[in-house]
Amino acid sequence: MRQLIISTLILLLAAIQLQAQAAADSPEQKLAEEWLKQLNALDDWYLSVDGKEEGVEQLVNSMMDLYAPDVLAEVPPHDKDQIGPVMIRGKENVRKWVERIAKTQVRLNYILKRQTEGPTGEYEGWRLIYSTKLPWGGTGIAFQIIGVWSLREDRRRFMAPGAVFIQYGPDGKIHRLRLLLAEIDEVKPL
Amino acid sequence: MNRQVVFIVIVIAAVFVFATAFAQQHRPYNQIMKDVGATFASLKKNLDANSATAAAQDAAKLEGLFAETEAFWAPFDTQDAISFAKRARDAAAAVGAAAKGNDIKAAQESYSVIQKNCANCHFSHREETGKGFLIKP
Repeated sequence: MRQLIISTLILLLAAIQLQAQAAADSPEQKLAEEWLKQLNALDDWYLSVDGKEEGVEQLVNSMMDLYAPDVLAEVPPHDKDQIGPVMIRGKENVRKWVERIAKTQVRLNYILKRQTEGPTGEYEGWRLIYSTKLPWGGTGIAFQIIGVWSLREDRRRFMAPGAVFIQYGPDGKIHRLRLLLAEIDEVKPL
Repeated sequence: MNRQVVFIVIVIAAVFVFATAFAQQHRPYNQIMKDVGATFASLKKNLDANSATAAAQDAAKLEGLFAETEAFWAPFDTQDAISFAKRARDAAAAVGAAAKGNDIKAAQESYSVIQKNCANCHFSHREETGKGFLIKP
């Protein structure tokens, strides 16, 4: 009897583990992880000893591979004179936005927000990705993030909670992107 | 007459362009840093030995090396690195002035300022790979 109970418990735990693994490995999860990975990699380049910027072009190209030519992106203001969000049309214009991040920001650390079932479990647990099939084909995903970055010019560091909404077409490319960052705060040492 | 004037202007402009291009060329950054390391160690040794003249010479050399460092960063608009180099250069000048006045204690204090700026810059802009260093933008 005891053996039966133990075996049942082991099977139950294994099933839960498998289910969790399946959620973590879902195509939508991979899409979200890939987008964040490419974004965070944008500062992963160096200066050569003779003062040339090396590797930035490849990183931007790699990020841009995710986008469709007719992409429409709504992104936070990235200009000192800009107050509201910016609507960017077309891959070439999105590329300029991506290049600007790569060249002006360092120590990029955008992370997926985690959650457990409890009311306060916001820093551990599952990295939830909300997804839906789009009526016109393709998949839409949404997820909460915390964005952290430093300005290259003076190393001032900023943090903001936010959300990302991405629509992928049947071609697997991003056709719409909405990156929302709220309450951007400067991180200062105490 | 006009042709001669145009010719002279072109020659002067060409000389200016070449001179500017030559002035903007700088030594590879790793060479500058290696020289800073060696000179900085020598400065410490001379300050500890109360060798004011030798210390002043090292400080003067460091001043030039930090000017080179500043010039390396200038085109990138990486303000913190430029400021670290500038403050290190100023501190090297202060070490030199103190050493020339035979004030080793003041020179040691300014030496610490150089050290602090070097460390801060390395923290932000130097990445250890195990096989060498990379320069972070």
